[in-house]
Order: sequence, then structure tokens, then C-alpha cells
Amino acid sequence: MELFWYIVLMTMLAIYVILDGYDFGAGIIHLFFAKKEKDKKAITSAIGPFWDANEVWLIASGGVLFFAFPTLYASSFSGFYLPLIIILWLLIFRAIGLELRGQIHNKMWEAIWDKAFGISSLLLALFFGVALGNIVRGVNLGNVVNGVSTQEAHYFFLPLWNTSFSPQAEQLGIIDWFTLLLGVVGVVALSIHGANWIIFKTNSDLNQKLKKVIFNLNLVLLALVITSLLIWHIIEPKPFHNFIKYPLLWIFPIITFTGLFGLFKVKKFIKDGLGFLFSSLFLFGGLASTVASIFPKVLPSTNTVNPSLTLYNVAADEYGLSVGVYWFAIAPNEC
Amino acid sequence: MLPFPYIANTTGWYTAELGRQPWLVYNLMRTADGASPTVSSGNTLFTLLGFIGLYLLLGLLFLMLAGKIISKGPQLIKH
Repeated sequence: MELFWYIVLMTMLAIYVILDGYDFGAGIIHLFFAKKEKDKKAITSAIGPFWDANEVWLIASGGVLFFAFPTLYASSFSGFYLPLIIILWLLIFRAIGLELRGQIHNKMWEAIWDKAFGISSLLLALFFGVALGNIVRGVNLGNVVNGVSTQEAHYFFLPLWNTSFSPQAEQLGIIDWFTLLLGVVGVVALSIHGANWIIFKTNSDLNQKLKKVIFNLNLVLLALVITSLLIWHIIEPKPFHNFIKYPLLWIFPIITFTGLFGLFKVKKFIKDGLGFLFSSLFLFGGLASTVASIFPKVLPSTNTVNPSLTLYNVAADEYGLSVGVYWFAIAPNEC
Repeated sequence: MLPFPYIANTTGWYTAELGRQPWLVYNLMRTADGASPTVSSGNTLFTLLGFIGLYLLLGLLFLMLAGKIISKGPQLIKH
């Protein structure tokens, strides 16, 4: 039962990243490449009807997390309180930047909301990458100081950064060089994804330029992915041991690299949707591989005092999970 | 006339939320027990002020935009 809900939760999160990811990416492209009014209008109308529905997947994932893994919900939402609130504010700013821009025809008004939309999309892509980095690096469960746990075993709290920006200090921070690296990977990957969406959905003049941008960003992404895979060995001594133990998990890195290498052919694609498909494959495979590599842990512990949170010790009761399967399957159809 | 729906809505929420105190879940859990042990009051104050500022900005924007639409008046029907 726990495994079923774990797969459901991770699938919903992956779907959220693929869907809202193109909204963030389109915002980043809007910030850097949309100079003419025509192009700005093309980009905002490409994501305009969709961003609200895409964000619903985040809320649904949060709901599933709350229901199926309450200890993880309590632990991570308390420990990551500050970055979560900041993400919430950024989501609000992105939404109002997108929606209020057209209300008044005034250069300053439009400029302010354009920048709000673009910069919040960029920061959101960065922060989601940072969040993934935090999960992979692990946290100081129990707020252990000098070998003594100062909180209950599953509680922690991370400040936004620690004094050394190092992921190996005893007092960790949300932002350090490892999580920032994964944040940059997120920004680049989501920019490619958003650009692919714009090419897919619009006939704007930007499309030819965006194909070159995607190709160049893809090179950067390849370099960043290889760097992060190598640097990961500094944080975690044997990061790929799961793939050796369960060889079936190799399907996820294969999907990831199919997406990554397929995108190099973007200039030659005849069907516009193909680029979007490849970047979706990259995002899905990337997330699945990352999550599969720390399986069965869901939140590793960086100290030796308190055990890591695995999907088995944070799950709700067996009865509750089985009742939930019924409502999860039936209830949306009753609506 | 204009603010009455907002007053009604807000006071309704006050009744529900304040009336439930000191319980979070009636007879089962108190509000004080529901607080996160690791989130300090400074953090909550910071985010509360952030939300107050954000909602103040959004409220002012709303009043301005709604006022603009209202002052433009209804569309004239052409006969």
C-alpha cells in the first residue's frame, strides 16, 4: 500500500513539474527574449489558459502527501517552512504579473508586471531545483547538535542558508552550492521546456530564434547534468547503489538521456510538438531517477543519530491507505 | 452598501475560527498542541507580515482596478 501511494505521489509531482514547468520556462523566455509587444502577447496567451489548471496538480500532490505520508508532511513542511512560503509568494506574484498586465494600458504598469512575471518564474524554477537538491542531500533530522538530538526524531528546521554555504556542515541551509547547482539545472531544463511549449503552441516570430536557444541551452544542460552526477559523489558516497541493486530502475536514466539527446535535433524537427515531448521525457526521467536513487528513503538524514525518513516509517495506517485507494479512484469520477 | 458582503464574509470567518478556540479539533486537540515545534515565532511573524503586505497590495490593486471598471460605466446598447 505504501509503495502504491509513493508511486502515485511521485507521478503526480512529476506531472506537476512537466505541466507547470512550461509555465515557468515561458516566463523565463518572456523575461530574456520577448522584446516586442507581439512576442510578449504570444507567450502570455500560450500559457494564459493553462497555468491555473497546471498549479492544481501541486495542490493535489500536497493533498496526497498530507493523506498518505503525514509524518513526512509534518516534518518537511515545518523544516522547509521559509522556502515554502517564499515559493507561495512567488507563485502569487507570477499569477498577478500574468493576469494584471493587460488591465491598464500604461508603459510603467506593463513593465512592472512583465518583470514581476518573468523574475518570479525564474526564481520559482530555481527554488524548485533547490528543493530537489535539499531532498537529495538530506537534512539534519532531529536538529542534532554535537551528537545530541534537540528535537523529536523526524523534526528539523533549516534556515535559508548557513554561514559556509556548504552542504556538509553540521548546521545545513536551504541554499548551498550543491542545491544551487541543482537549482541552475532546474532553471535551464525548465527554460528549454518552456521554449518548446512556445514553439509548439504559437506561430510567433520568436520560434526560429528559440530553436537556437534550445540547442545552446541543451549543451549547457548536458554539461550541468554530468557535473551534478559527478559532484553528487562528494555528498553521497555511493549514489548509484540502488541502480545496481534493482537493475529495472535503469529505465529512468534511459528515459532521461533519450530526452536530453533527442533535443539536440531540435532544429530539424518537422512536428513542433516533438521538442516538447523530449523535454517532458527529460523532466520525468530526471525526477524519477533522482527519486529512485534515494529509494526507499524519502528524506535522508545527514546525521548518524536519527534514522532517515523512509516511505515505510512515514506512511499512514494500512487501513487508511486502503480506504484512500477507493476514494482516490472513485471520487473524482463522481464529481 | 458596498462593503457589506465583505463585512459579512469576514465576520462569518471570525465566528468560526475564534469560536472554535481553544480547540483546534473540538475535544481532541488544542491549538497550542498543533503548532510546529521547530518553526519559531520569529519565522511566523516574518511570514505573517509578508502576507499582510502582499494582501494589502492586492487589495489596493483590486480597489483601483474595480474602481476603474465601475467609473467607466455600463456599455451603451446601440439601438
